[in-house]
Amino acid sequence: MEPDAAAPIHLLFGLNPMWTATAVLVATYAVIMSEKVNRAIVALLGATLLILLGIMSQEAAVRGVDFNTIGLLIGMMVIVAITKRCGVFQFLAIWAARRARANPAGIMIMLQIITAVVSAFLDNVTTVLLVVPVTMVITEELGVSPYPFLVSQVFASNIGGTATLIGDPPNILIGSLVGLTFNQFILNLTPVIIVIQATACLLFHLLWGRRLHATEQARARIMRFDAGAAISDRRLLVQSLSVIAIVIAGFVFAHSFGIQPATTALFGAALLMLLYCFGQPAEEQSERVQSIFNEVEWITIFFFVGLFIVVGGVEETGLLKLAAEKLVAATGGNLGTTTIAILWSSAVLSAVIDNIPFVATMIPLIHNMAPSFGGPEGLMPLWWALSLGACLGGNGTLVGASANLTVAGLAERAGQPIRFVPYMKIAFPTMLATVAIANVYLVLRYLP
Amino acid sequence: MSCKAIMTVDPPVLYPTDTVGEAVDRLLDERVLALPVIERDRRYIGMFAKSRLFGLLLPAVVASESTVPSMGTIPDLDFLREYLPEMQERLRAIADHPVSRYVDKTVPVLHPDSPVVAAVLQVFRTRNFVPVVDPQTGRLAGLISTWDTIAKIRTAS
Repeated sequence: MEPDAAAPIHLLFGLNPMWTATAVLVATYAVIMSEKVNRAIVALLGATLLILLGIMSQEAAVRGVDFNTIGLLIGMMVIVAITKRCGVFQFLAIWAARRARANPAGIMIMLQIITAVVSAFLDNVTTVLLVVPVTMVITEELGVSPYPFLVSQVFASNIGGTATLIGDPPNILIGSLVGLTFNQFILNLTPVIIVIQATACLLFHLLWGRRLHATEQARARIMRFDAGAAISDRRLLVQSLSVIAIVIAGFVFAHSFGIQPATTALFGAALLMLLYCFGQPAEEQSERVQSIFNEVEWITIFFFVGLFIVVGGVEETGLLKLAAEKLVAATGGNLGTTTIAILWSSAVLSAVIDNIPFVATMIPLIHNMAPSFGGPEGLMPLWWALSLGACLGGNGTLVGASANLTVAGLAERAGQPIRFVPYMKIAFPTMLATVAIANVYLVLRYLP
Repeated sequence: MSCKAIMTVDPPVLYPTDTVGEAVDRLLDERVLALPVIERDRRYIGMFAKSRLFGLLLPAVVASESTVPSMGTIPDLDFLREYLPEMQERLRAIADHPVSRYVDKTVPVLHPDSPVVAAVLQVFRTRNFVPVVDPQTGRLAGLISTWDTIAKIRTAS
């Protein structure tokens, strides 16, 4: 007789499921934070341990993996992997530098805006990998320190990423697991993000921008840059921008037809791959597709898979329901206090720990608060608080977000290191200022 | 057959105090892509190679791509169409620097008794010139070039 595959196996050694799952969750978090072992390995180990210990069955684990998040991430990564080959991002950066008449302060502001806008639609790490190298060429030719440009771009990538459903992994998680649409993110987060980014531009201008000066000779060098020449493949540029436009239109309009963002993103990825490979011999097509898939960040994908299972296992034991009840009790069941508590605790914690597992754990926890706040509709301020806190908090320290570490790596490589403490001295108070703006916004809009 | 059989025994060399300007002259005169840098007593230090020299002519973030190839890269530099004066300026700026500042000490070395296949492997891995160093004394024993290797393989009985 076939065993019932859906039923959990018996818990080993008669352990208490809730505390066993909690121990696995805490151990997983601790090892991820230690950065001693790759986070994908840790998440997968934690996930399989929960199955092996009988906390959940394999089928329950598979059900816990949110295909919408995974599909959306892979689809967007494929689209970016192809689009970046046409040089459009270098074009944008050089165009911005020339548009600012090679004035360093103007370039700094323009590059922040470009980074923020691109980050709203692409993964933050990808955005900085595309914009930072050309920024460093520009600052080197200008003869100014790249430090202010890089730090302000770190901020812009994390701030801009908060604006949309697809801009930052925490938002993808929240959108997918809660069922929020692309338009809801645009309507609820983009307005405050515009204000926050404008404030960040102003703060960085006062701090650094107004003191940046370049010689006329250096500025003339920048003005000689040929932005048009940065476009290496005009056909691919048109194809990529067309597909991106279709995908964004899909995010905006397809939800009302029951089409999830993952389907839209994967359709766009497949369409762009088709256009990119069209007319090529079979061997060349295989090589192109292989090279595109090589650029998918499989570490992130498997990290998400493992994390979904770990959090799903903990959720099954009822631990998060218990934690939600405790949190509601601690805030006196007051929506305003709970919203502000989630905003600030998410921000401060996300500055020091990986915000993805944090958000993945918080989502079911907040879900469990629904009865206390009049059902799912009553939770909306909490979702926006979680998104704003987790995404903006990542700016607080160098380890707060993957984009920060990526920029630090690029800067180190080019002999311009960004150190942990000097960064934090500037970044943490600035991050607190951005969260304070978010706080005011949440109070004014959702907590009258 | 060992590397001893195919190496050039007395190759042109640079000393740590030679300037980059002199090193460039030697590269041009000898029509080679890299030169070993040695102490006066012939102890091997490293290689001064065209890859490092060319890297010095480019923006730093581009020149450092080879060290971390998976990190962000710029697809091409076509937008720097009128970059010749900058490259000339960069070359002038380092012309008086001693080559010791730019020696690549990571180039794998071979020993005189290493098999020829080891040289073929290094050449295959994009090294055009492979230094051969005496393991006892640390002195430069010779240099194996792409041309030495292929010529000897073709003619050896």
